[in-house]
Amino acid sequence: MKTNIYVKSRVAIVGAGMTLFRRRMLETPQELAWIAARRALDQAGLELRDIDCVVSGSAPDAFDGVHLKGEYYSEGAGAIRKPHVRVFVGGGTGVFVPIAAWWHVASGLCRRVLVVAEEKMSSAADPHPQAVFRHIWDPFTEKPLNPNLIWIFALEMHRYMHKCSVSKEDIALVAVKNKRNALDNPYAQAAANITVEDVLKSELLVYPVNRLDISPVSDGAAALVMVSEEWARRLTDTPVWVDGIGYTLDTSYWTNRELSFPVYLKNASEMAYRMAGIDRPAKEIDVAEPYDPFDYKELHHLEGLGLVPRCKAAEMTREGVTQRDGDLPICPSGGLLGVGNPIAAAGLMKVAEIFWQLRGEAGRRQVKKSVTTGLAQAWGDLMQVGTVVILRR
Amino acid sequence: MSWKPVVREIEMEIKAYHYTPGPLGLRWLEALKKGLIMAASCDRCGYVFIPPKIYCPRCFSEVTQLVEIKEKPHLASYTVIYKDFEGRELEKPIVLGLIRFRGVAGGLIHYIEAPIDRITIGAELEPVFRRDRRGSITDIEFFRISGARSPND
Amino acid sequence: MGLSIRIRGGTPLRDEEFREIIKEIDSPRARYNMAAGEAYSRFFESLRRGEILGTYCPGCGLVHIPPKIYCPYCFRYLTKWVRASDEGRVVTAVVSYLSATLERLEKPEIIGIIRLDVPGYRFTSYRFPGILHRICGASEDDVKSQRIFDARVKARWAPEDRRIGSINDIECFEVMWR
Repeated sequence: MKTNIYVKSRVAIVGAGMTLFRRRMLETPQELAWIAARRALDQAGLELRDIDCVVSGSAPDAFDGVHLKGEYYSEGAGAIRKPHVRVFVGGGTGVFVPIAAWWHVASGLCRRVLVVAEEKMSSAADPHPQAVFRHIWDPFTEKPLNPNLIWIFALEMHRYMHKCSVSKEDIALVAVKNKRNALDNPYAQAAANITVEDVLKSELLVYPVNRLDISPVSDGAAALVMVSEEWARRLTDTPVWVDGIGYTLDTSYWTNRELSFPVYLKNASEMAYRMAGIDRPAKEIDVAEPYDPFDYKELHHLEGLGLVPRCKAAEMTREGVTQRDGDLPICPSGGLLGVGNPIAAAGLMKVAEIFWQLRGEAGRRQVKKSVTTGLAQAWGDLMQVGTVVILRR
Repeated sequence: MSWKPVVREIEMEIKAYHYTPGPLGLRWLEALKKGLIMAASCDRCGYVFIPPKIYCPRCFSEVTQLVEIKEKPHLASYTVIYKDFEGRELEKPIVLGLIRFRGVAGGLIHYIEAPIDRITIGAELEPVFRRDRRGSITDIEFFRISGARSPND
Repeated sequence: MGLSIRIRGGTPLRDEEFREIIKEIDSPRARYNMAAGEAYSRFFESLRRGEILGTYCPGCGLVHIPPKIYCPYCFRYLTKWVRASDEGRVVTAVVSYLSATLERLEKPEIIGIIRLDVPGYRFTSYRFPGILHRICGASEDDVKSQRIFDARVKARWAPEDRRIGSINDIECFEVMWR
């Protein structure tokens, strides 16, 4: 497989693990991180002493309620007397963690890296974890308007609907698909058998966003073990290679740009495709997990990733192309809409899902077609960051 | 400058955090409520440690056991605090101690009630529990010097 | 002890369990004084006078509203201040039924992104001076039917003696239906 970048070592994933994703968990942040890390190590057949570096990720300290929470949960993430770095790009963190881990291995600095993402949103109990998002606004030009987080997504969703002539029914199909996919996911928090009508009839929060268009608040953690080529071949017959990484940040001035197309994601995905030697993503990507905190975001991101022409994602969804037995299965895990959204862990869960799909280990969630190349993507901040990884068997 | 700088005051967004103790932490606090200080014990490598958690920091295996600590606590270190959070002088200085138990890794931070000139590192301590307990580190009101100096100092 | 926690994947708590369980509750006490900075300070000063100012970037041709002293795209230092009109068009709009603290609003609020006119300057549809604000003079149906997209709006200013140098010195942007 060609990769258009010089690296000291190719990088592979050899193990993945995660906790249940639930609204409230008893475990402390360290313990959540440990459960995921332990399971990833178990699948890789390694012990903690075999790990030489740890890369972790988590979204604002304001969720878990402990400042420097990277250092706080680091013990549970295995970063005991080892090199450790915590990365954070809002919701994009979950896919950024393996990107940062890729740097560690590709450069030759580390050979066996434990990659952990954790989030305990339930600690921010009073009034509600969503209140943390009140601090992401510009304190002068936005906060005094008393904004509600859902405004941003509603504004982007409505612009997308207007520009691309997409209806709420089309968009609701994504929520229906993902929640149904999640019924086969043992970790899922919000799996359900719902209809488009259920989505449209659910509580109207900020038109055009209804309650069932949104993923839930969650606690959870996920982890991977990423190793050098030499170790990949020693540990397993089926390593999954991280052949492409891409990440791009736009400005936080989200009101001054065209919202119906995520340019930052186009840049991030092109960076990843270039590295992985992919010329025709729509043909060469077999399965993908784009970030779906809201149902319309799956469509928005599919277009940003170049997997479908602009404004055509809704049509593709209607035709069933993105179902597990379709030509381009999207979010076979159930996505954030079905599995849950512990911010950083959610993105890493998507990478884990592609890893399991490419190895044929996804059980009842396994997509019908044979898959060798997969993509996971996350997104975060104020319409800002796109993070992409491309995995190959 | 033809313009005046503008400054706005902003409050934290979360009114209160609720921290859960984890499955082993929960049992530890329940024991504390009963007046017992316990430690976590790893079946796989034998590491005994406080505060407890469901994984062993030494071998990274799962930990499910709590054991009673037989040893008496001793003072590993301490500091004397003269001012409060806002910088105002305290009526009576507060002594904060690092309390360890021989044979147990880790330790506790807590208040030490004793005349400052009698406090020495290595001193043997005993916990004084409150009457009303709720399952918290504050169920111990403070540690007192128990009189005997520990033999290994 | 039952199936291992790591095999079970964790211990979920129901709402009632979370409420009753032994835990620690603590409140953060941080208060922040935020400085508006050079550009915003001047911007709010002029809002108080009923003017909307922006800074022009000769590199990309964009007028930044609210103004900045640097262009984030070109990374140039910006020194040219321009005056925008208080009129513009609706780029996108939504109807909010929830307050900032997630309570149901008595009267739903219409919020939108307004693309402001700057006399003498033209912008692409990709990048333009756009601000977030309340929209008045429109109904829920105007939003749901998408009639409101591209509608012309004009700022409704707060009475002069009630302006303090804040984004709320503009009460809302009023739709000017033809």
